[in-house]
Amino acid sequence: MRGIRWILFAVAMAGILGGLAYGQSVSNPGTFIQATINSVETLDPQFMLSSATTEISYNVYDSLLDHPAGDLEALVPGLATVVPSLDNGLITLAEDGTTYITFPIRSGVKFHNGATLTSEDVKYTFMRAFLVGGQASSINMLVQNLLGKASFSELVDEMGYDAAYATLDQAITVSGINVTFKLPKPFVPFLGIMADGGAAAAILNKAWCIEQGCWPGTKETGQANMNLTMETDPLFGKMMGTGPFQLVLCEPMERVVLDAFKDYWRGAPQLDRVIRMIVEDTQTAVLLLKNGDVDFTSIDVTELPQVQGAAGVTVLDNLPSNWLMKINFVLHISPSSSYIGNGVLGSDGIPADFFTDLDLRKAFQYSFDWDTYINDVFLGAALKPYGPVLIGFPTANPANPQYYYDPAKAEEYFRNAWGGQVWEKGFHLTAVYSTGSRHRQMALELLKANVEALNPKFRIDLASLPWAAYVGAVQDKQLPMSLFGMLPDVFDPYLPLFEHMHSAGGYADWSGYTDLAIAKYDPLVNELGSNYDPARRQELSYELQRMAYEDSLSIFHFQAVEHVALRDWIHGFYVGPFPSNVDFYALSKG
Amino acid sequence: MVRYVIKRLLVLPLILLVLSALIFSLVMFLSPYERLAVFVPNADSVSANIPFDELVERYGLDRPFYVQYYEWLKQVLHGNLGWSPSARMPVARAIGRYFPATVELMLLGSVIVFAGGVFLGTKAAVRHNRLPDQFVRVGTIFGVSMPEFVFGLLLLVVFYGWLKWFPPGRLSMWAEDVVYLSNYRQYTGMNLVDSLINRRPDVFLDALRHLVLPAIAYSIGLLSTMVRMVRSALLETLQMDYVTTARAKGLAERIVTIRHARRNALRPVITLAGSIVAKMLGGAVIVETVFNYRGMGKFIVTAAQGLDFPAILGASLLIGVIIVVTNLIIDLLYMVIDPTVVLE
Repeated sequence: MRGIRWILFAVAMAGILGGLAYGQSVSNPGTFIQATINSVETLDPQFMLSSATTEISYNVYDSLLDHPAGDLEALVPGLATVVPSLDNGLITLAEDGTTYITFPIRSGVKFHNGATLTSEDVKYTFMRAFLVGGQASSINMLVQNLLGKASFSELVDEMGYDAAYATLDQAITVSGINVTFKLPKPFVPFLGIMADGGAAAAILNKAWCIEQGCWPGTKETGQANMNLTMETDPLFGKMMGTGPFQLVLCEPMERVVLDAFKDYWRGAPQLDRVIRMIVEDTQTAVLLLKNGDVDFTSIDVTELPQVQGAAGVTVLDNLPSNWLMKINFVLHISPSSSYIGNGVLGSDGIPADFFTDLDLRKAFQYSFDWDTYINDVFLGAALKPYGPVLIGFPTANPANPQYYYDPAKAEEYFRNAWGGQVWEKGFHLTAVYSTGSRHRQMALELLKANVEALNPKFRIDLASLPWAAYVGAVQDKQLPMSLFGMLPDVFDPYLPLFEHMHSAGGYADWSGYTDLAIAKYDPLVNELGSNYDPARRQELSYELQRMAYEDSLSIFHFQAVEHVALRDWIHGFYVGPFPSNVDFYALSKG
Repeated sequence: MVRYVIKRLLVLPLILLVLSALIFSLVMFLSPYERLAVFVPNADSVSANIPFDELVERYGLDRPFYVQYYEWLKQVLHGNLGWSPSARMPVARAIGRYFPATVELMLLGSVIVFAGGVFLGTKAAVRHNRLPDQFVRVGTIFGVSMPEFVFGLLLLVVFYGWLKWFPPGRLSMWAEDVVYLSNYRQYTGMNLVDSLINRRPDVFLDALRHLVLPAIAYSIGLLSTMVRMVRSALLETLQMDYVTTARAKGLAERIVTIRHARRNALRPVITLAGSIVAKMLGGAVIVETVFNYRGMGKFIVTAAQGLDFPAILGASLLIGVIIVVTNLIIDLLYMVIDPTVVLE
């Protein structure tokens, strides 16, 4: 019996000591393992809506152009051999504004299945994207600017399928190794969209796509392939590109496994394998990282103390990301909304056009305490935006007039709002956030506290809705204020300004200022999108940012920063626009 | 008895039909935009650039209730439970993937709950008011009151973070390569079973190693409840006249307890066992999240939060089947435990 006890003790000690020794050397050499909470929504790059999913596409596919590592302003050739420009003649402008942009396609580039890239693959890629109704925001941008409509379906409704297909077919032409895009008017962000490195503008292999059941590439078969859904999309669970890694396995809610593509045209990657695993509990992800079972994960600000100083772990914090959030005033709330009380200005409600008053909107602006919000919600790890153009973007203007927390000014504007009636009668509205969204909830709580402190007749109730119901309520214009943001994935000021201010940008419709946008913003935004002169573009962007301040249609309440942690044995990581999206090709391990 | 079983099973389709119609009609109270949100991932990444109206039309969310229900029912009768946007795969495939994981967890957890519960409850009852009983009673209070999330994290920090004995997840990386990327065949989806069929004892041990902590975390509360139930039932039974008679006849105390008293004390325990099994088969979202062990709990909660009604319906049908079958098995077990019970 005593002998057995000694044996058991020895086994336990061996286990403990072995466990403590575990993880000192490089775990899983050659394999990069990333822990993320973001599951894969689809593997079809033309339908990707989430920035997290585009990370996979970025590493499996290539685009015609690219950015040098970490430099989002410069463009370099990708699958095209030259960056088109007016100077090299690959961009030509006709007198009527028609713009031709030509990309010479690189020869000798192999797809993962051994096929060789041709210009026909490029034409097929974009025709397919428009035909099937790709939902990625870049695809939407391209459709609008190539076909002049919000979607290919809209074009079909207008002119019939045959004419619409002919328009699409003539908008993208092939001649030898060249692919030429014909735009009805100049569209400056076009090159930036083509430089997304293999996200929405990823180049597909036509023959392989057809083998998988995609559109066969003919006019006769196009109509039957329009407007795909997740379950009808043959590429939902498949990827095959020219990128440095090839898809081995995808379990959408669990893991994606990529293997190195040794015949990559830029040279074989240094890693053998990449595993992107879903770990929904961030505490578990931290433990995995510390034990070396995972090489990289994004970290919440509250978990930073757990990893800072941890052996073998490097922490990169406060990395600006392309995510900006704003509180949007809804100028024309649905009269049937249950969040406006009795629909009359006073202690029991607000009118449906409550936020059409500029003084009122400014009063709310001066009631928002950015410093407290950023310190309390993000523990200081967030940025106060300049306006609709994100910090770090070209033409973002730090000198743009800003709102700031000032109760005295807030009171002054409240007293003026609605000719003094707001101050006299008070108001009562319900502000809604999506359940579980702490940053939305805290923003509204802060606003509520500061506004109600000014006048006891002011009442803001708070309510939460499940995410699904929240989106529905926003679409139906039920909410007096909506909290939605922007994640522009192309590094150009046109995109956020279009989204926030243009009549076709979405927010104009959601928030009820379409007429204002048509009258005041559209001409400037349109010119911003079509003028190649950098000086003029800056002028236009600055003017639009000033207008956004003047008209006060949204409170830009934060721009996110991200924090990531990685093991010391990972080299080559650089920070992109979404820091937790990793360029696996740049990495080595050991 | 056979007639009884058949009669009970014949009621099952009717129950499922009513259940599905009820859930379907509740979901239809939501607007098409609300039901669309499950197709739009990640709340914070949504921008105004997404064509919501077009998507509503594309997914047929604006069609009348009876049209949508009829389409769904037709699919189900052909063995197709529809597509789950939240799981990004067909509902049947998602259930086929996550249900075996939950069954595995349930099986190991059940061993802990039932075997442990009966053993500890018996010990506590037999040694009433002595040290083992005190220890068990304090332990069960701890087990019932400790939140699953906290206990699970504690286990993870100690046994994985410090000792590195039991990692989270279902399998290690090398074992996943074997299971998913080699000629290994998955028959049941349960790693413990499939590894034995594939003659991979290394995968079996790895799967077991990954199951230990989630099974303990999951079952601690239920174990505590079971222990208390067995203890109090046995204490009551040990006071019965027939037990006194058995002792008077000179039978060994162990035989009196196990063969006479405990057998009768197990009847209320079996009733509880049925609901425990049904509950466990519904998954444990907290344990699954902490240990990164994806099963039915996470699948159902994600579907519910996202109003993924094909997945909700599919999971509801499965749970309906489980409950009916479980209750039937319990009734049959009563007959085994107590031959005087007659099922009509």
